[in-house]
Amino acid sequence: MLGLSDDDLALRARQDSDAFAVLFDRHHGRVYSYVYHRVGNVPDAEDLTSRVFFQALRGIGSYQSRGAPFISWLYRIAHNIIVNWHRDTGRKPVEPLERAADRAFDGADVTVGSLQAEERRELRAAIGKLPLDRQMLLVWRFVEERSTAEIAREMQRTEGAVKALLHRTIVALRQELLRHRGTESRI
Amino acid sequence: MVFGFIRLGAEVEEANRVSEVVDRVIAGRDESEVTVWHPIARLLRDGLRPVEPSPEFLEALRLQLIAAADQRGAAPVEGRISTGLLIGAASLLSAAAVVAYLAHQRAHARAA
Repeated sequence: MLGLSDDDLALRARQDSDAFAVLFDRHHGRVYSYVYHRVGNVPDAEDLTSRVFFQALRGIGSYQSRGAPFISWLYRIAHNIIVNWHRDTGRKPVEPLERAADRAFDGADVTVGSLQAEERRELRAAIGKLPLDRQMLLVWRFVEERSTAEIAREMQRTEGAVKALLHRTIVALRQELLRHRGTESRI
Repeated sequence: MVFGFIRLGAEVEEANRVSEVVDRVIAGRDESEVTVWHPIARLLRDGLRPVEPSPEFLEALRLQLIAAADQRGAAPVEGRISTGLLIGAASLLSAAAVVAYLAHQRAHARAA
């Protein structure tokens, strides 16, 4: 069963719990990571990740590949659940990446070299001002370390379009940081 | 129009350049040439680290999902039984209606 493709497993998972378990084993890490960087804390990330997979289990019978990878279907479920969660709880969706950046800079396992507290605050503020699709792009590229080609497949855009979006995102971040620091910045 | 194409070409070239810088920074390759994009790419790399769920959470969720999937597999069987019962009940009702109709007809004929 481990050698089967996601689509074959999804077909089997309609009746076979082991097939669904293999899909879970393959994708839980990415789904959790995606959710975590959208909500910014472990308890909510665990709760929402659970909801994603239970909803996937309920919907697996109607899953159709349509050329996109299986994980895209999980991301869509996760995205919808998170959007509803933000709406229901009234929390700002821009907050998590700010907090994630904060934790990373404050964490003992992270090598931040010469980064100063002021730089950290500026970065968090700049990320928080980005639209959601750009925050997602940053999660996929930097957190999940996925290639531009992989992101393009999942976003169903061209690789050039993803590169252009990444470019605009980084330009926007840089401009925001420069605006705070003035011309003497090394950013 | 020509200037538009030139500008578009320059934007594509710059987007490719930024993408290459991000690739190298994420891969942790030390750079001899440092562009204006390197510091911001490094900031993002250091600020957005991968996260892992706890093994306890994963194990518990996995077991719950398998249990739910097994229960879901049992549901259609219950559904089939219910359908069979419904068909049986409908047949009995039909038969009872026919018997009642015949009894009524017979009573009517006897009265006549």
